[in-house]
Amino acid sequence: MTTADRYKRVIDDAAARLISRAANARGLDAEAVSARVCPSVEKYLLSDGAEVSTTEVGTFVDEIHADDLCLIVACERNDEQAWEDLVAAYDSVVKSAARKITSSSEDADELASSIWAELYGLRQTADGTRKSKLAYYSGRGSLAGWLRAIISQMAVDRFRKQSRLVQIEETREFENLAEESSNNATNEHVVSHAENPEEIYSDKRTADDVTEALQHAVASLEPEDRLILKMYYFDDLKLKDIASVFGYHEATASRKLVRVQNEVRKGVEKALKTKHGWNDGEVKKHLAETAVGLGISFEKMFALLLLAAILQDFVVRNVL
Amino acid sequence: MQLEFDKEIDALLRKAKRGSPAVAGAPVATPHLDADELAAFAENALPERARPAYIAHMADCDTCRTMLSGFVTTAPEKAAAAAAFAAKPAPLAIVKAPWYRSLLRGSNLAYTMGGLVIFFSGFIGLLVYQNQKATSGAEISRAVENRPAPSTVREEAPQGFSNAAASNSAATSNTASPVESVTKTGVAVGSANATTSTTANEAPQPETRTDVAGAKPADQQPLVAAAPSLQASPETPKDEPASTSDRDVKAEKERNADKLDDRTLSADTAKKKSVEDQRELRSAAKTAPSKIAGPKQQQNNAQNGVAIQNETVDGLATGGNLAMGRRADLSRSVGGKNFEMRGGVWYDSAYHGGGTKDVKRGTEKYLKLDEGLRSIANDLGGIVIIVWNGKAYKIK
Repeated sequence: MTTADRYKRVIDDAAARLISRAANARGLDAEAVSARVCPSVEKYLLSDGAEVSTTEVGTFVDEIHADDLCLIVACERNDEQAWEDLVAAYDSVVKSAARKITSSSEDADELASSIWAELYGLRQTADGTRKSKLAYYSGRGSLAGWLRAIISQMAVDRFRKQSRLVQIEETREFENLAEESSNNATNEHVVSHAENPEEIYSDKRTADDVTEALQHAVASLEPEDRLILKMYYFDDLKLKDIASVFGYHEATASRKLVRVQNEVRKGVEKALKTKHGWNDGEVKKHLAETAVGLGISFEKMFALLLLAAILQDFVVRNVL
Repeated sequence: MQLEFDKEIDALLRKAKRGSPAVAGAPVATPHLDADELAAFAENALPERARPAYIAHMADCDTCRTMLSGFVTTAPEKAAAAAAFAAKPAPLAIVKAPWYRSLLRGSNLAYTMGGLVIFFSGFIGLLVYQNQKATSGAEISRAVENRPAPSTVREEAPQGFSNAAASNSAATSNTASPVESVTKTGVAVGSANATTSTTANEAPQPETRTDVAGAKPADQQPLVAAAPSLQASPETPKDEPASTSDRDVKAEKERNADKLDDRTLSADTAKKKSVEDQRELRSAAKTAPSKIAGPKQQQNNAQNGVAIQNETVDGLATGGNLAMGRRADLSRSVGGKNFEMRGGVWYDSAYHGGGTKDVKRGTEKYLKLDEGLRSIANDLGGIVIIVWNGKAYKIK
């Protein structure tokens, strides 16, 4: 007896409710839906072996997107009308998501075609049933969101495959060298104009210490705070988008981020003081110097100004 | 409640993003999220019980987090907005940083400054270019206005007049110069003894007036209403020419008239007829479209080497020459500008369609117009469409 079997009756009742609230149940019965819901309950509620109340299970099923799940189950049962409805309703979603991910319309069309093939299931199991990705849809999220997630994953998989192919063909030596160079802070000083080796060494030590302290401070954050921080700084997500993932208001996300920054500062300062023996003045000074040194690239600014001057000169001489 | 980002920590974290593995997460033990979990996570649709585990995985798994961020970024606005407000909005003040803050942040400042420099340089350059263009346009306009009347006006037509033509052969005779003249049969249309012809345009050939003795009636002549046998009174159709060029034309025509005094037609008669012709011409120009001989005919006439009047006032001429193709009823050159009469309106040759600014004579608006423009409009009379300093005016 599996864990889900213990909740069979609750799930059956919830499946019946699901069919009743679906606008178009597509002729499905509670048993068919119940069989489809059980694996989702196992996956999301019972996987850690913890005790779950029947209310929780009932709520879980009640929160499933009824129409989307019925549509998918009907498609799995080779309901032609369901397939037509699925394609009619979601082809634009698939194509739109594919266009956003891929660089050309040809690639997008190809990706969209692949998605539909995967959904239909071109491969078959030993007993002759098609292996379709539809089986993985639980109904917790919207069908459109699930389709977009599939497209994202397929695109990433393709990209990785292509990258591997390209890397096999190319020599990696130069790339490795470049990567190593960029990752190695020491190499920054290969082209440095600083003349004092002690100064160079001191700067490097300072930077290393700050980096290590920062790493420690970030690792010490709560997982949710760490995720928010990484999504904001590393993935360039807007606060609005981060808030949508966590179900916050944008203002809440902003406040959380400020709080996370404060925690990071405290963590960094603490690590610098305890691990590296810095005093308050040194911490303040070096953090400020590091931050200022990172901000503006004067070389880029000068290059842009020079470009603007050349452009202006060209216009004055040739156009005016 | 004013919340401020910590600039130093902000800069450090941004540096960490630029390649340094400063904040690399710990190795991830749990398997990566599948599409269903990812979508449910992004839509905040996971059960509360399962959510912390997924968050913990996402916080340390760069692969899944990147996938999630890509998913959120490509999500339609509606879905994101719907999910964002699944929870009740927080009542606290929004601390969203103003958009320009991001321009001043870190390396963006360099791009912002460069962009601003380029933008203002381009803007100033454009202004200078437009000013120069406008200045040169005004100079050209002034030069055109001050330019003397075309030299052809002063030149005498090589075959200014012909006495020969009391016959059809004379009627088909031509002038070598590109003369457009208006021929009209006067009161004596159909009279075998006298047919009056008058030129009334801006052609280099002076206005001609010809009495024809024994000529065929105008309506029997194939090209022109009457063949000139005598030219006299080469006055311009206007009594008071306003511009210098018109005065020149008039003076030239008067000189020609003096020459013609020696001929068979007496000066008095010529003058009377000339005045008469002018009146008729003006009325014709205002009311009825006149006919002009087509270019083909002009070419034929030019070959014959005999002066010809190849423009005929409609309604006055009764000959078969009315059937010739023609574009404009009359053409004149006033103040260095060429005008064509079409449908009772003088059109500036520089006018190629488009909107016009309507101005009535005598109004304040009219008096504010440039003097040269008013002079031309007065000189032409009637409705005039004229292009002046790049603008099209319709003077009524």
